[in-house]
Amino acid sequence: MATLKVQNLFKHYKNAKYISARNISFEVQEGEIFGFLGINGAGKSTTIKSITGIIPFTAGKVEICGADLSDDPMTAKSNFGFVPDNHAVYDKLTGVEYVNYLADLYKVPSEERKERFESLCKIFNMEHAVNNQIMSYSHGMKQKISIIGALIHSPKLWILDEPMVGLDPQSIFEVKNYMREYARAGNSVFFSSHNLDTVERLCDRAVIVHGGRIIKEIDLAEYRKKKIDLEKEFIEITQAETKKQNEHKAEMKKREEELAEQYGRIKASRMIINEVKEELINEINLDSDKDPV
Amino acid sequence: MKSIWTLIKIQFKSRVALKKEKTTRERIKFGLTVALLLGVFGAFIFLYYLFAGQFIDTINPEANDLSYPFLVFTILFFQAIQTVFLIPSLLKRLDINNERELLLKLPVSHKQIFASKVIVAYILEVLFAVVLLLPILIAFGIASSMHWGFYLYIPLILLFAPALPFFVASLLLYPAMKLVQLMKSRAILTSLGFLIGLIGGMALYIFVMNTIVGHLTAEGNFRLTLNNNVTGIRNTADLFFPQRLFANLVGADAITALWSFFAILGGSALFMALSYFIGSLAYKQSYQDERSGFNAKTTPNSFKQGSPRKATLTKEIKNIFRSSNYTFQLFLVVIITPMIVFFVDRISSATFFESLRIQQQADNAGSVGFGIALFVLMILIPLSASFAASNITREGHNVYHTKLIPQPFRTQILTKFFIVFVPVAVSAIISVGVLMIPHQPDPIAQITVHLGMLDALFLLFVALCMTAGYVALGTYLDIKRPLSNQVGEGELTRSTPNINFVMALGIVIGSAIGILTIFGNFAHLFEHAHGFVRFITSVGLYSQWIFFCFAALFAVGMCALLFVDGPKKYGRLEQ
Repeated sequence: MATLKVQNLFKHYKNAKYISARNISFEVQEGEIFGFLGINGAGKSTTIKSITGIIPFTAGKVEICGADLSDDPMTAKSNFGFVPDNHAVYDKLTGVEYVNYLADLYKVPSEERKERFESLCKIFNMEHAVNNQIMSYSHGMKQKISIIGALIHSPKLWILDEPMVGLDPQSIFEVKNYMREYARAGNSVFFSSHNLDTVERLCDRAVIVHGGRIIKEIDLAEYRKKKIDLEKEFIEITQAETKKQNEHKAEMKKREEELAEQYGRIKASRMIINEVKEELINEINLDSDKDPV
Repeated sequence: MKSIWTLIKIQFKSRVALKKEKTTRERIKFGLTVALLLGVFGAFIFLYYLFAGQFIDTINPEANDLSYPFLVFTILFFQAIQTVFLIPSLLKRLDINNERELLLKLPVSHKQIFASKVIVAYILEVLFAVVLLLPILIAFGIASSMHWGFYLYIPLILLFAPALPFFVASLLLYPAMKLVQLMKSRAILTSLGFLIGLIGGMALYIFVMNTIVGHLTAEGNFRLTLNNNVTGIRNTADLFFPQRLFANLVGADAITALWSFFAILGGSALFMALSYFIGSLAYKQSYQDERSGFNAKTTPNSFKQGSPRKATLTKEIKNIFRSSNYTFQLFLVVIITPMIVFFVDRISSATFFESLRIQQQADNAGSVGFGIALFVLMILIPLSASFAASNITREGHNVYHTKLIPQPFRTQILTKFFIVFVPVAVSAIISVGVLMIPHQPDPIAQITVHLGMLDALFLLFVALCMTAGYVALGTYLDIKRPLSNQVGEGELTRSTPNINFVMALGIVIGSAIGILTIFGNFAHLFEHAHGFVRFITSVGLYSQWIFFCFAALFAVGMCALLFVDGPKKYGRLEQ
């Protein structure tokens, strides 16, 4: 069963001259670790924010454990835990207060939460700090308390955005181990990264995104078997795409300059935005019947 | 040395972020600010010139001239002010300034960072002396017709006067650091302490002003008061030895001026050396404290399950009460509103007790407090309710949490609404309550006044409706346009356009209500008026009903906007 199903997801930020996510479709199965790869600005974080409900998406469908994020957001949100890339947690609260706050929101019974909390604290070596205010934590500790908070309700799907950034090697090791353990227990892990080594060793499947599109689907078990170098392939694909993208950007810029000469900068900018919107509408209509990866 | 110089430059550059290209609007703003500052500066010199003139007596200098003590007290006053400002400034620089983290990333030692910070701090204090002390000294020089030599000494005074405040501030630095750490974990205590300090300060100010005015009234004028106390003032000035050294430079004979100069030089060097040593100890301690991880006192939690609504409410409360900044922003006006209403009512009753007596004979009415309380409340309520206009912004980077959690946006918005509405509403209820306490505005007039029940209910209704309206409007505006990205993980310490808007609207509505109330009170005087005046007075006559309807409509409209459109807007928020 798919714990996460994304179908034809599009995201266009208001007044942006490009589409941040276009026609993203994929599924994450139970017991699977799924990697979301891409260079900076590829559209990873936008897609993750869209599928977690942090930002609204323009078109498409997101299902979490069978619950539609748009139609039944409360059920969908109850089924996943999210760790952001910015280490943001309520730093006026203590570690225990923060996790308890989340446990209350996810209606985790007292006994269960206590047991889970203590076990997670032990795994991530956080017992010594949980009664301190989060403001005194280091980046790594904030990341760890964020992970504990995301897992306190034992969600079927665990989503992480760049989870290894800012962590020390020991913490990276702990997080990677726990990701494996969590997936082995029948849950799914979906995470974004530009650390190819981590993805190569950890994931069952992955996709590479570039310019807001999925440009490659990868079965990593197959790669490992055939000893294909993920890093080499990633560089080749993304370089070619970046070249295309830069050419497209240059074209757009040239066109905007031409329009600006004719109509002035503000109007030209508006016209480009409207063109992007039209392109978006056409693409949405064209791609809505396609099946997800 | 080169590293220290580079660090000094970095610190100055980070302070003065000069943009090369300025827009016309920025240029106008800059020009207006400079003109305003120059105006204030000029007015300050002129006032000080008049004030200094009171101490100078050229006709009978032996008996009455007080220019030397005046100079001593001027230096003393400046140094006292500088010490008060220096402590938080040094604290910020050495203990709680993020700049340190930035500097620590550079390949320089802690000693070099500290040395650069001390030098920057001293340079800024000399600039502070230029701003505050220079106009005073110039005004004094003009008022006492000083010879040109006086003006040559001024740079020396400006350069060395901050040395003593620096020493005193460095002595108090470490206890202040500890106090700040304690305050960080005791936001309520801090706010309460500040409030008590504020009220104490106000009381002291009133006491001092009363004493001065009392003396002036008894003795005729200020100069006469000074003449009657010449010996006392001179003896008091003699007690302040370090300040006398500065006064000696310009107000004593050549030999005294010379040894005073060397004493200032030596003393300043000693004070600076001691300040550097003590400050470095405090800096080291602060660094160690930060590395060991400062922990606020909190009660270890149990793992008892609570309701999601209670969890959100508790989180909001803790976020506010554990920040002295937020506690202060929300509760300062909330706490002082009933006090202001009480005092304004008592003062106005005492002032207008005669008309109250007539009013009471005519229709058995209560107090003038009603109109004034309405006006005061209408001004103060939006000030406290404007805190709601940062309800979303305060989340900073944590705004993603509110989107992730399985709790409807409407419930979250309701929590944010109540967290501000409840304290402001309680403040309004207490404010109306204090007006209902009967009191005698004048013992001779033998009348007792208080706010009647009907008036109280009306006032309460209007106050609560307006509170609900402002809180809903503020929250709605912040949902539409929060500044979360700017706040980040820190705290919101400055006003935002949303907060400003709510406050400005409050002032406009409050003033309109105030004007209408006044017209309402004096409507009988304009019975035969025509045109616009007639229209305004007619409106004034029905002002109570207008306020009643307006407040009800405002509350319903704003709440509908918040709770119907707010959740949709919240869902569309792109942070």
